[in-house]
Amino acid sequence: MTAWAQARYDAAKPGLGPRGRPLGNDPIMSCNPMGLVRSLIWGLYPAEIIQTPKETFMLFSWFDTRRAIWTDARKLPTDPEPRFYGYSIGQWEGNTFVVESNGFDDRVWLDADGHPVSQDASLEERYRRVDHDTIKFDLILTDPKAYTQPWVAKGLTANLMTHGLDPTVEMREDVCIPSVEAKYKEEVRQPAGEKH
Amino acid sequence: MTRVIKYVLTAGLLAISASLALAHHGSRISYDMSQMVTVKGVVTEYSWNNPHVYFLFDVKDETGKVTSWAAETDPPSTMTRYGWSKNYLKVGDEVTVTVWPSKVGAPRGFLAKLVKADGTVTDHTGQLPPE
Repeated sequence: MTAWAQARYDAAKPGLGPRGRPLGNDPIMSCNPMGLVRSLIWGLYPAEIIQTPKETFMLFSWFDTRRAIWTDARKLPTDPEPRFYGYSIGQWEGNTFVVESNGFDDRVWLDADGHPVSQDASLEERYRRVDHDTIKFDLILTDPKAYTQPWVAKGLTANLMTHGLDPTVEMREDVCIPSVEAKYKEEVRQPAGEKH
Repeated sequence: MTRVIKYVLTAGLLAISASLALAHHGSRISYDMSQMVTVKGVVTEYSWNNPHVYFLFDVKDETGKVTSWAAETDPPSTMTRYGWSKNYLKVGDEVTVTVWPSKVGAPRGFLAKLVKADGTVTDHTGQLPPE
């Protein structure tokens, strides 16, 4: 981790894992966007994938988020506007769908432990359908402003809204509602976690 | 129901575990997963919302003093698989609630088991490993 990343990591107060404490400042605890990498590795809420000739969409159940991957041979922008879910282009290499992204908003956490990501980051995702119901993917994040070497996560299983491709299973509208979250915090989270 | 995600972190920069990715964010850490408490009460509020389904219920002790408790559980997407819905509880329902209690002693808990007056049972006591 670079000094820039270490400072951000130290400022992050996660609610989970070895550094987890009650309350804290995880962005998602106030319904702030989860961001791309965290959405991809988050196991609790599923995604759907929709392919069209020019764009492939990933629809994440959590936040009802749409993430577009351009497949019309365009290039990545050289000076992208930061986005919570990045700017993405995709192409097929044989049976592997390769997605490249840049332009990440640095307000998100990469994971529940509070690892940061910078606006200079680029991400490569490599998707393979290994059997009828399963898509596996690799993630390669290159972010020299934050990390001294790329981080690579291989063989992740996409949490897809398939349930064995059962057509009767529908994806829910899993919106995070700030007013509801605030009420929950007041009624449950805060009393449960704080001494009085 | 738990999906296992395997990570190979060659750079060793991120230590994400499957449980970290899957766990209920931000709340479960407030609860003592080594013990359970059972109380009986009457539902006063039911919140069928993301990301925390929870309900409040009044518990009366032997002196007649009423304490407002709350029990939270998994999000609607998960609870749907256990037969829960927006109608699973309603204000006025008599409930017997077993929770992993708040570590700071507040009348709050993470739901382990719920028995409704009609005998319907939701039992998660064997599902959650202590964190």
